[in-house]
Amino acid sequence: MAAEPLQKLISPFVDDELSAADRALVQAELDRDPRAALRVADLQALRGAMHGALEARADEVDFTGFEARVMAGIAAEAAKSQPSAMTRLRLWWAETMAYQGRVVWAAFSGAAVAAGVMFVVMRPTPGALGNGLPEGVTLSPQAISLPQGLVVHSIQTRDSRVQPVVLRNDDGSSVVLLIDAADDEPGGAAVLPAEQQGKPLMGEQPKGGEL
Amino acid sequence: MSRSLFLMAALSLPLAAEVRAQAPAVAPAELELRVALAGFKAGANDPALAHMKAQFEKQGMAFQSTQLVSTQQVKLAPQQSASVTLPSGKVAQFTFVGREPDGRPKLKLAIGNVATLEVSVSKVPGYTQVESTKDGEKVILSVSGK
Repeated sequence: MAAEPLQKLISPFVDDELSAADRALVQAELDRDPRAALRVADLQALRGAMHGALEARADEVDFTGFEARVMAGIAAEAAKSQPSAMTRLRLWWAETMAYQGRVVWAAFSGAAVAAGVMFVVMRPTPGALGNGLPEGVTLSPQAISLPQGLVVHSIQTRDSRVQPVVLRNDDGSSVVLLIDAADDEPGGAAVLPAEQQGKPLMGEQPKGGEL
Repeated sequence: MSRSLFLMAALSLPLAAEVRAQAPAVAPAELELRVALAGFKAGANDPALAHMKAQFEKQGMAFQSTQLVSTQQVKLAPQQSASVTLPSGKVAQFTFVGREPDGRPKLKLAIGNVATLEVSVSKVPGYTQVESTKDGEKVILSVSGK
């Protein structure tokens, strides 16, 4: 066996890492060459010494809970490297826009169009009469027939001396008189129309629909 | 595709809610509240009260003098009130309570501790004689609005 291959095999030989065939070859060479055998013996001695020293150092170390500490460290490291909710949201949005960008924009556009249509359709706009009704609202015949001016729905008096009189004009509007019997002078009653003067002012108070 | 529809629906909901919240608002009532004095003794007639004078004349109350005491223009949101002080010191309070089907404002008119009326008003003024002065003049409230 050449010297160089033998050199390469000596270290594995000492470490007992050679196949049986290679080991036999090395052993044959060592039997033949005493210097080589001596060198191998030195290496084996050094290996034994180092092994013993390292074993002694290892014995000095307390490995109690070592595995638990290692696993805790791994967990802490994993937690530290976990991205925040905002970062994850940003990543999700970037990923969504990268792969589904057209869909998202289509959705936004559709929503904007729908909102615009709803705004136009549902926006309350003053009617042509300026009465606060939305455009397109049809007035009922009853509503149209309401007279201009004052329309009285109900009157409640808290003072028994005061009596209400509702006078209706030919245009349907009403004029209301609150007549105080205490201070109403004769002249006041005299100006009422003849048909009103005969009305009992102390009668039933008018209600909505009766006026 | 279904994801797109879901996104569209999800984005539309808050917008629809916003639009819906705006839709049913009742327009504020714009009112003109006037206090006038009218007497049966000869005197000056305020041209601004010609309509009032004519309306009472139709009922046989031929006023010989009319005088505008105060004019107030107010804009009331629903349930808001405005007050007018009468010559006697009583206060007439107008509260906007809603609108008729044709849109005209409905008001509650409280006159001191004397009476409360529920009325509808229009652009054409309506009149309520609320009290008399010591001189026999009639205090008339005029209200119009839209």
